[in-house]
Amino acid sequence: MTALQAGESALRRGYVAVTQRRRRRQTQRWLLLAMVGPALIYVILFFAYPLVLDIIMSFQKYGFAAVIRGHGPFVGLGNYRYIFTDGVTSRAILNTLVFTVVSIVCQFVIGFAMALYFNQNFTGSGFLRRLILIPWVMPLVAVGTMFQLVFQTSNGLANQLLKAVHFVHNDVSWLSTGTLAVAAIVICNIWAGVPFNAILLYSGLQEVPKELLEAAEVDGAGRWRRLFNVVMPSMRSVILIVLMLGIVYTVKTFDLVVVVTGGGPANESQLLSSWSYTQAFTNFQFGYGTAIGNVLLVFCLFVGVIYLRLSRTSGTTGGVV
Amino acid sequence: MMATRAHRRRRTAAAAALAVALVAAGAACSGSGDSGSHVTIVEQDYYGAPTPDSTAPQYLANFFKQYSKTHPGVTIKRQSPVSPNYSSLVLSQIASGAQPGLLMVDNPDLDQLASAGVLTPLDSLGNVDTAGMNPNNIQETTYNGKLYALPLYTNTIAIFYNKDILRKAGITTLPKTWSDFRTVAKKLNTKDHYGFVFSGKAGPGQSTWQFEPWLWSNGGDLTTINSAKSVQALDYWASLVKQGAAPRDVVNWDQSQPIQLFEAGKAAFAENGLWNIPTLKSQFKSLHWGVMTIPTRVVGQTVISPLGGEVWTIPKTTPAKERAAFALLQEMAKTTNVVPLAKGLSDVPTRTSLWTEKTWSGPEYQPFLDALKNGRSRTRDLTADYPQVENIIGNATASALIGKKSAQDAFDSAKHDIDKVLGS
Repeated sequence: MTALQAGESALRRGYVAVTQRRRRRQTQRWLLLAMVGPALIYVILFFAYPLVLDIIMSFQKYGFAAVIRGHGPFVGLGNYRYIFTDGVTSRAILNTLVFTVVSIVCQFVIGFAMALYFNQNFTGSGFLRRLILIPWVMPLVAVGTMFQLVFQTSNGLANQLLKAVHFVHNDVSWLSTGTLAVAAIVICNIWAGVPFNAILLYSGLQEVPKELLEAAEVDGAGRWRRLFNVVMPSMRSVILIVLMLGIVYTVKTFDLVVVVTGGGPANESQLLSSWSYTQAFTNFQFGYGTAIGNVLLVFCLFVGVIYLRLSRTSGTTGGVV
Repeated sequence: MMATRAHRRRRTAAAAALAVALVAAGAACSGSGDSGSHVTIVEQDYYGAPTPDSTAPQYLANFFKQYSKTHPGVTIKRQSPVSPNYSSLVLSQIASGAQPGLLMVDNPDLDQLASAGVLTPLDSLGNVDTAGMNPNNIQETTYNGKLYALPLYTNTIAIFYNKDILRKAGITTLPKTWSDFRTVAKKLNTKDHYGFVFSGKAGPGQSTWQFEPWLWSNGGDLTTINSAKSVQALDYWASLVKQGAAPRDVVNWDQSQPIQLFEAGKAAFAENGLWNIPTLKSQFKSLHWGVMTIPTRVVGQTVISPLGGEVWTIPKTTPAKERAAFALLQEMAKTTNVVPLAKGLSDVPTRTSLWTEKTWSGPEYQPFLDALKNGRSRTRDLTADYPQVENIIGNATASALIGKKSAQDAFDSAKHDIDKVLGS
């Protein structure tokens, strides 16, 4: 073989290699598309398409007759503008905020305390840890029905208890007083949400490096110091997940309020979710109902963006769960 | 008026609702067309599946089976979805072209459907015999001058009273005016029992329906809800709670809680419907009770009560199906069928001549029958907008009952919201 022939064959080999690589890259691209495709189709069909319809509907006057016709007249920003003049919607926004913030804070604090408690691994702690899962696996409709009985004015457990400890002397009208009705659903939601926090935070606690804790102890850090400066920072990603999931779960709570108060009395305990449903499916104001629902959607997106930001800066992807 | 009856059932069957609804929708879709001379009619109501203690579903199921047998060209498929939201189920069925051939709806929802143009006027299908039916009920099923449904049976509300509680308190004459009633109810509101219980919870067939007799008898009405007479009625209603004649919890009660309290002997007076009579008679034999007319502000005012009950309509399908459904409906409307149906549903027939039947001739029915004679169709003034206005008023009355707003303020803002509904 001459040098020329050798060079030629090397070139050809090189050419073949390049086209092969190119071809491989092309098949790879097709493969990727084929893999992403089903998910993409699913997202477009079941999320993007309804979302587009939802946004369009929120700009329409979409009443009973419009549902039958399949379209309603456009009213521009009318539905959104009405959100600000409708007293019930402002109340629902306020209720949703209070409900979410108080629920999350209490669930987290109580859940964390429980996690720390169970982390001491005393006799029977494993059994008790499993037991506290019960409120979490219970359907919220059942939880709501139970708490509706708890908060009954006469013979309700809450009033009996308060009277027994002489905190009140007369029965409290929990569910027929606006602010107390909101308080009732908050208490109910805290009860139902604590186990979720406790269990996730407990598993987070197992990840805290023992050496770090021991070192801190040797350095003379007290119990609280260790908690805030060692335990919590090393649980950052778990805490982030617990809070973010909690907020999203809580902000869209629907069944609880429908069962316990039905949004009453006089719409005083409506949350955005239940009020949106009431407008759409009881009053057949689908346009206004979706507009209210979209306020909730924007809020959830906002929380999602914050979560992505925080998890990026903390250097984890949050893949703990 | 579906509230109580349907409500009890709803609670137990809420979980099954969706599944049933889906099956029902499927059944509606699969109903065969007009092939040849054979017609399949899908019939829909919310009375539920036949069970040993529910005579109406039993009767309907048998009736349809018998009808299919005696009419070889017709097959009837009954479906009875127990949905927590029947009217939205009907709406979605119609919107997707899966409407039943013969449809039962709660009477306040009829005009909404008629105005959307999805129902067949009954007069266009043939001669409708409404002779002898309570004219107020016929008014209720008429929209824009056309008859859209047949009201076969009906009901209304009055006040049940506990004879023992009244006797023990030394009350020998029943209160006839608002102030007398409040005084007595207040006196009877003790540690052992409530004075007066009613439904003050907003929602279809709840507080607005219970408020209407007080409102209408005083000369108020739904379109001018902030008028002096309307406000006066709400002011009185709120005073019952404020002065301790009725518990504050009424704002959380639909119609089932008050009657359960009454049945348990825990209430002296309960505003509720005539459909409770058979249960009270058969299951609460030791309870001594009577029925009285709803009091008026001053003596001499006529009590005007809202008309309840479901009505039967024929959605637009195909000419052959509509004709077949019409023939079926006319058969149902025959006296021999109406009587057992009304009995089974614990209602009374709309044919006033049947009120002399043994079932309905007792003294406990009399205040109700009097009220029906002066009954008013709930959709008379507001037609298709009634369901929405009903909710607005229900929330307004609730805010006055809990003392959050004065009666005037509550109805002023209700009027604002109602005008928005009517104007748009």
